[in-house]
Amino acid sequence: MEEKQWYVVNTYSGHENKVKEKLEMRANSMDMKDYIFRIIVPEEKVIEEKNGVEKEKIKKLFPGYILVEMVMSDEAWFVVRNTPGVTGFIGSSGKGAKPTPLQPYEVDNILNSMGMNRIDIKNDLAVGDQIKIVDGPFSGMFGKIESIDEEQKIVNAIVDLFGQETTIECELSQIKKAA
Amino acid sequence: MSRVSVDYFELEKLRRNAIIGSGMETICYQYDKEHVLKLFRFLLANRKIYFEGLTSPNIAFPIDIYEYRETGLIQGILAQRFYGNNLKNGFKEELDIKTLLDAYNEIRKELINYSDIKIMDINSENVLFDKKNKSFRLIETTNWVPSFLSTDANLKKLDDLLMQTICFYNLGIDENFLFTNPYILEIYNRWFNGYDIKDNEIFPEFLSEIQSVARHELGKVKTIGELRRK
Repeated sequence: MEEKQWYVVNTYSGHENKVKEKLEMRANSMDMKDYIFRIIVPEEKVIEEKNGVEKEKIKKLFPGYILVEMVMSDEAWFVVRNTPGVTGFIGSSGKGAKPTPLQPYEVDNILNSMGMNRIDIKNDLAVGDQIKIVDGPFSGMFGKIESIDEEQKIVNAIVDLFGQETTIECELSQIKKAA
Repeated sequence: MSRVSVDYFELEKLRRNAIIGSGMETICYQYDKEHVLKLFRFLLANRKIYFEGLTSPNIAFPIDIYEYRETGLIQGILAQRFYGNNLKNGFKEELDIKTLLDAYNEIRKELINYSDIKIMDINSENVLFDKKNKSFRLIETTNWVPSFLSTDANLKKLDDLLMQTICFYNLGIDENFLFTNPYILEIYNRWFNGYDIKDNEIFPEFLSEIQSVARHELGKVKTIGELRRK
């Protein structure tokens, strides 16, 4: 099966949360739980001052866009594309070609600013999983997860360093699951 | 209507013209007062441009196609220049609702004639409203392709864009909006939940209903700006 990746979906402006809700319902009702995973409306907390009073508000980072983590199969594409309020995918020529996913660093930038991670720790990672290190001094190496610190969002992985098994520490943003 | 063959230096000279705008695929240069030159950012061997030479008072079909002399790859197109505001931030407040609906009917009538064309790239940057001539203008046609039975799909794209522009940018209707009128809510829900493709009177119906309610309950309403303030 294809790897799941993050895509940017165009929605009606001002209706991002409504679209997210509808897409989650459709993913469940159409049995697409193995193809459509997390759906994010990028938001940030801002402080607004009105009449001398400061108030915390939630502001959408990209009005008219949501992020969808999915496997880009024909069926999943159809489900997303036909969700009420969805007007298209970013990175698609619109002539039947599948859209282009976001680059990992782009996803990291957006999710990290929301206190989230590209890798879904609870569902995607387990001790014993094979991973590839994609950033940092050990970039390009493969390893096996020895332990996961969910709170600090780091993993300890065993890699082969100069012929010896060595444990190294990596941030979640530095790894991806090996195929 | 012709194929214009250019070399590297001729192309560079054209690129020194004033840039009017740019999108993901093209950069739009001023050619003269009546025309623009759209050059592609990326050259694709299999790129095809259709509808060269079609003329329309409201749609910027390709007039000439520019090709790179050495390879024959399509570099860009010459098209008619239209003036107007795009719909990115809604319609201007003083816009008369009747004018808007008349312009809408005019462009719809034209699109109905093009039943063998699939229109693409209908978005708030590629649709202009020419307030002086009271017309909609469609300015990006390089991705339009031949296709049969696409009239309803074409019209739905335009309806969708106009509904979204009016609802969100002009009336401030978003997912938290509280509708007090059941008829307007019904039309709105029909639109949001994906109406039957043949039911393509959503936009004028919505606008007319809002205007009629506002006129009846709050006095005469003529412009988009007045609708919002009500």
